[in-house]
Amino acid sequence: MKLLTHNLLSSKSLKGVKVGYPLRIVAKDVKINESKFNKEFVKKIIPKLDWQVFINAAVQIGHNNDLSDELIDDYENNDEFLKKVHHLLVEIEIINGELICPETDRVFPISDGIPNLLLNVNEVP
Amino acid sequence: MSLNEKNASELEFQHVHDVYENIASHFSETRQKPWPNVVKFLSKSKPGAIVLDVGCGNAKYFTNTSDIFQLGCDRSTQLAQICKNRNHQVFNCDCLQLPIRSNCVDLCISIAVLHHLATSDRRLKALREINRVLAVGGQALVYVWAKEQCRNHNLSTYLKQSKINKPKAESTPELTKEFCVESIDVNLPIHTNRSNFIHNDLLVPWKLNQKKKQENESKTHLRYYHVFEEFELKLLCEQIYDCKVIDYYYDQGNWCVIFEKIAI
Repeated sequence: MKLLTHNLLSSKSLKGVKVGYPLRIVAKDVKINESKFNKEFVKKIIPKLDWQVFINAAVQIGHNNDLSDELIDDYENNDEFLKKVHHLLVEIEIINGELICPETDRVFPISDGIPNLLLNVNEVP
Repeated sequence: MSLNEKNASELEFQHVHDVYENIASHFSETRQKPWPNVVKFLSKSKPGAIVLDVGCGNAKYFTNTSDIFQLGCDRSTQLAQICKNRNHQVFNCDCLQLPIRSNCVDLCISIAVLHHLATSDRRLKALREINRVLAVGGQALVYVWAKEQCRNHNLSTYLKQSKINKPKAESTPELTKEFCVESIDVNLPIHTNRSNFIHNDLLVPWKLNQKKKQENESKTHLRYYHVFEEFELKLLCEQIYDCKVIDYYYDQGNWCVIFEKIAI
């Protein structure tokens, strides 16, 4: 699971959950998969992110860096910045760990890179 | 067929989810060729697009481009594993509860998934979930199996592959066999493969391949399907208030809809 995937995931479908976002991450095993930097892609994906959730997720998995909580102005022309975002967003892969619902603490396991967000019959409203 | 939620869920569990877990690798071997019109729809994606495949199976609609972000989900852990082995982003969930925040997906496809849901309410709910996760202006393409497998005198690919049916479109069906799903006390007809559909709700046999057969004594799995009548899928979409049908068509034995999430 990449941090970009995490940025989209929510546990709102659980019975009684109001927001269910962001899911907390417990990363037990993290791998780096180097991939080609696609500047156009990174530029276009940044406005679609919940930026603070992204930065907090990077901190939670121990890949803290010098990116700040506030998205900088003029990031589109800052290659150094875009490359850092690329690295955190698509090169880091959480192989084993957990995603945790912020409201109910329900644990969703991540194994072999695949988060399992299947709900039991009694967890659905 | 009319089922309550509990029985519908039980039927899907036994005759959809469990079957896919058992046939995953054989299913994947037989599902390599993408439908051209689905590929055409996906080619509309712009750089930076977030593209979601609901019920992604063996990831046959994923490409290797880094211009867009492709994400798939499937009920089957075995199929998700196949996607992961091909280096794609995937997670497990049910299409009735997409664990995705609202308004973030640019393009969504769901190919041959909705016909596995056992009530009209559940099929509508799955469409609502897709529409919920779409960004305003985002579009989805949904394919479901059509009851009609012969249209404008053309046989669907499904019928053409039959050795028996080839010469004539309307073959007289044999006496229908039924199977009793004991846990919910419902009888469902067993479909004769590569023939026209007579019923709307049925079980379609999946025979495991020769190699598997030897290990598993010619095991046949029965998959539940609801086959769609001509306007059924369109009418479901029209019940969603912030959704606009852009296109509705018949493609090789499937009813297909493209819809867009609209601002309200």
